[in-house]
Amino acid sequence: MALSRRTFLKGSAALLAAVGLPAWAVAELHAHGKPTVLAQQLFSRIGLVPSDPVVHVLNRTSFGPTTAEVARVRQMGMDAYLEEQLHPEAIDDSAVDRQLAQFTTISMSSADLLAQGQEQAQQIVSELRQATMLRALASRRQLQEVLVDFWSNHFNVFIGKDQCRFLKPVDDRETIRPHILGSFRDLLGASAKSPAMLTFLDNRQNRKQAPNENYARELMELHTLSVDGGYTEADVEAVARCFTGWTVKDGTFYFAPNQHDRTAKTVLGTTIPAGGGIEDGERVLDLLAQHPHAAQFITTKLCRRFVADQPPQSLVDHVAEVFQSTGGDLRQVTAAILHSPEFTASSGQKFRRPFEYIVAAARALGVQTPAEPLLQQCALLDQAIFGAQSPPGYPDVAPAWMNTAGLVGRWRYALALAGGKLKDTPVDLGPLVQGATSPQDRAQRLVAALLPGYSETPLPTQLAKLFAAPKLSPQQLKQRTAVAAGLLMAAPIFQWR
Amino acid sequence: MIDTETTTSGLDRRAFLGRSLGLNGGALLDTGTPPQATSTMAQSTSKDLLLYVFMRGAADGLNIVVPHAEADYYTARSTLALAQPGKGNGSVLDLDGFFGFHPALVPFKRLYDAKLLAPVQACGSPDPTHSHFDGMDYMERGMPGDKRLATGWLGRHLQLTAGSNDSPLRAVGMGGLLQTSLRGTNNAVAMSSIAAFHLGKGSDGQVLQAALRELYGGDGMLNGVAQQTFSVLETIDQRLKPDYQPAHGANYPKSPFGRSLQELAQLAKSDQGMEVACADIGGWDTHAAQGGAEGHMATLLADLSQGLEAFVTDLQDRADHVTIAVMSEFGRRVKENASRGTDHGHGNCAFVIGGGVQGGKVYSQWPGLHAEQLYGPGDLQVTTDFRDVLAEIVGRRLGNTHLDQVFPAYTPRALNLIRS
Repeated sequence: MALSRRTFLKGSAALLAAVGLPAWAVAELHAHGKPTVLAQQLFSRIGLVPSDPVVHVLNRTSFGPTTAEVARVRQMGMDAYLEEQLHPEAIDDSAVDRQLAQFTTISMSSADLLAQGQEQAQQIVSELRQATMLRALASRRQLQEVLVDFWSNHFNVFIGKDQCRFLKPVDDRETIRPHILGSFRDLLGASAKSPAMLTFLDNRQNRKQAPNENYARELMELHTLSVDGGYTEADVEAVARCFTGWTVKDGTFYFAPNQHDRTAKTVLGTTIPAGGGIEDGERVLDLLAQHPHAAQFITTKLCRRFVADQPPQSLVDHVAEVFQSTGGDLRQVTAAILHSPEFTASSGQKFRRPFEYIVAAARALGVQTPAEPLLQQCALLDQAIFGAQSPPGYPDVAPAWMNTAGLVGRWRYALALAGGKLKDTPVDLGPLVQGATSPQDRAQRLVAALLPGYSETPLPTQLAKLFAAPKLSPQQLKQRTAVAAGLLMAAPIFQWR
Repeated sequence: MIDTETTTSGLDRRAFLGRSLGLNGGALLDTGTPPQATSTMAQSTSKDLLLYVFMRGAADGLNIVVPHAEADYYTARSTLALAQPGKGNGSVLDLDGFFGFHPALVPFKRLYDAKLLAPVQACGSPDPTHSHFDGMDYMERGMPGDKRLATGWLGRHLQLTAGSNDSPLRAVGMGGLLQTSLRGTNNAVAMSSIAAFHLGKGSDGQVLQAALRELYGGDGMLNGVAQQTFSVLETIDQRLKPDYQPAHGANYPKSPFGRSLQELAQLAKSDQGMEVACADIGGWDTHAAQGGAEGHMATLLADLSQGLEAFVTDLQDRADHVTIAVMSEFGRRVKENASRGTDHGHGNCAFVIGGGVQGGKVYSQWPGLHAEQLYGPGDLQVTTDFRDVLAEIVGRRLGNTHLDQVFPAYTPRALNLIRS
């Protein structure tokens, strides 16, 4: 029985207290004037997202720029930064690793996880989600975390289905993470044998007497060829038969020879001779991983994530060529995208999905722990981590997320976060405005910190007013800084990356 | 027996309500009192409120509107088949001697007996896709097999009938991702919950809104949706009473679906001009362990039918102006698989509910379940195009005569399941 979304949201309804504004601001701001033209242009136009290449690269290869990270990348240079991020194994991430040590279930074997029993299921799910959130927030291997998010979504496993609650930590650790910059065929093979995937798409119950087509269909439609990838219903049936007997035993992959259909099959025009065993499925994975449609589909999706909702076909063709010529080497594929002129020219074209938005705001404010309140915000904005119930995962294009529910949810989050009103999530804006010489200077520093690349631009009228009163007590100044920070992160430009 | 009632919808509705209230327990003081329909009807618009419910994941229609008189049904489903009427616990609720409801659909049976509900069987999209994504996309855009038009069928309907109603709540989709069917109109609202449409009490909220209005005041891509968000914030803040209590003992399930429906009823009763609403209920992709009279799918069906019965009950004062359509992207394979589940199929059931529905009858050109009667890899045929069902609602209940633009390149067939 699938976990309901309600279960995920449990307790989060009360989380967001009404976003309060102190009485001081009310009278002052009610008599508002017309916004300046500059402010309008600055805060509402997608085209004005900074062309600063460092900010752009950090927008795309991380969960959001921070002041420190912008400075570091300027110092080391962009090529060196990309080279660093493309080799995450060489980056020291011990600070985050130490934090993750508290989550004992993320390193357990599937047998140990299953032995925990149903009463621990919520804890197991929660720990994996918290670990994912902490890594997105604080890992120095930011590109790795972006890629983990991408590939977890591509090979989506809904964590609420049956034993997936126990098996997803192993899928995350052993299927996704080791392969995101490796060979696509290895990743595909690991996914095909992942107990979590075998559970989510029911292949563990795919037996020769009456095959279960679920995995076979999604393997072609979603994992490799795409829905228009040229396969037929007969191919779906044949692929399902090739994977009969691929199942799970004691929480690990197991090939059950007596459940395998040993008759001959024809897949995409290739004959798979009778008498085969586990190699039938391996042969299908080979065929699919090498298929030109897979190269197009995978690279289109990667370009969609890193460049634009509708990436230029020239770029996709180039990257697909790299995919094909390197045998699906994902490090080279990813590098080809990040080093392309199309990537460089695409600043500000991607609408942050809820997970990206929530983490970007938290990173900008220097929020560290705990992860739980941020996870609840993801669920409220309909992007619970590992919570996509349907096989395609979450959409990666702006129109899917750009609606009234999304906007109002983002505004509430930004204002609550900056105001220190998110449960258990204290925020210290002091460091962002340290050394300010006047209230106005304070506001400008806030802009510089939260919207790198805009430090020279005048504040919108409404925000400027927050700091315009002749005499502000330290407490007033603090409150107004929080409101201004919330509004800056609620602004249109913060929605784009 | 309901047969002794007259056939006008008003009396049927009363009969239905009398029954359902009785079943809901004796807590209600007004049991037996006729609904106050006429006084509120005058305030309503002449158009119906349409609620479009989508069962996401491809619901197994053969175990929902069960052809219990078909021997082939029992042959194909040795573990999943539901027992014939009267054959013990968990047997189907007979409708007409041939079809029967899944036993979890007791609330639907009450609506059916009150002639407020019409099941359609062997309904669906003519496109052969077995892809969830494409199946939903084709159905919600009302364009089977055609990916050229980006708009949804409800979006086109709303655009074609725009003008008289500029309410920010004219079209509401429950959930954080706006339903594809609502695409194409610039004022469909996605709403996770009413409570989340709130920026702060009184002047706090107004101040924050003023600042946000400035930030979103330019000509950016987000301007339109931001303006829409401000309008909805204001409407909800000023026009909606807090602490909503469902009327007439309506008992919504404590589920995301039940909550969605209750909030839609609240919006409907606030009379803010809501014409179209969408709600989703997921979890129907039952490749394994779908269950029979009990189990996974039975739980979903209870949620579905209890929720919609509560919605009808809650809105009984305007029952003649509410129509509900329930669909899923496609049905499931006739023969069960080895994992006590069913794979993706083709033909499916659908439901239409409301005061304008000629209910109490199953609408079906039954194609049969013999091997030679099946479609593709062993699926139920589609003999009623889903657009026939929707077009009749659009034409007869929503006052839109431009059916050729709501469903381009298609000439709907009259089913007469809607009163003309």
